[in-house]
Amino acid sequence: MSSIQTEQVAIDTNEFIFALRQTPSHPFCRQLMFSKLSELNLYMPFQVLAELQRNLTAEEMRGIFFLLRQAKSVQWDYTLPDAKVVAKWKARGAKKGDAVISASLEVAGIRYLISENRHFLSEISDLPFQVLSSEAVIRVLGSISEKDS
Amino acid sequence: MVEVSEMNPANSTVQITLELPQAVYERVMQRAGDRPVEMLLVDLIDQGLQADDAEQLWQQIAEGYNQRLAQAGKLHQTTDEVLAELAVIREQVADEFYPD
Repeated sequence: MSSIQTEQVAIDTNEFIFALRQTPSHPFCRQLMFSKLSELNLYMPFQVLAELQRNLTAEEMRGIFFLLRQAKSVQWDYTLPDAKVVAKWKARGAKKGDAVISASLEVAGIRYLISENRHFLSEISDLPFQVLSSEAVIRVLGSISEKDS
Repeated sequence: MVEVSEMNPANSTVQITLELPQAVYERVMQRAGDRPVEMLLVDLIDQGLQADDAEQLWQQIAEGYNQRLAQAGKLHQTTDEVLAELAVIREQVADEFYPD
């Protein structure tokens, strides 16, 4: 069994936005939300929650919470990582926002971030987590289902 | 075909007889493993209904969101433009969380 199926994975804000926009160039974002959530244990950093709140109305946020209940499990992390950990990532070249995400994932021990931002901290070689696109996640989960059947 | 065999108000259950295509039946039996197949079917139906509700809700959210984007002239932004805008929001949020 792949560790994506057993470990917690974080979902970046852009996955929700592209899924909502139904962007033709990102069909896998929507597919991730509807076909694959039930196979994932989600970890949602506070920073992502705050970013979603900037984009969506309160009613729409309630819908997001409802949707995510389909996951195997969801952990909304309402704590912020220590400023020292954020500063460490900034010192390594991350912008402050990306540093907050990285620090949250590092502190929580999360090894996967699903994001459509291919360049997310690509300049940092030894990130403690792997950045995967929704397409990559769906392919991994799909190949697991085929092996199981 | 579904046939209601018995309704039991005492424990809020309905007993039904269900006719499944052979292929679906085989997939269900394979998935059930050691679990009672009845329990698996209840879970699968429940999950299917929840997914359907969620998809309808998501569609409503998407319509409202895209309407707002259209009003703001942002509906046809490129991937790079969307990511750039999200990056700005990310920095704003981070600045509020960790003011220098």
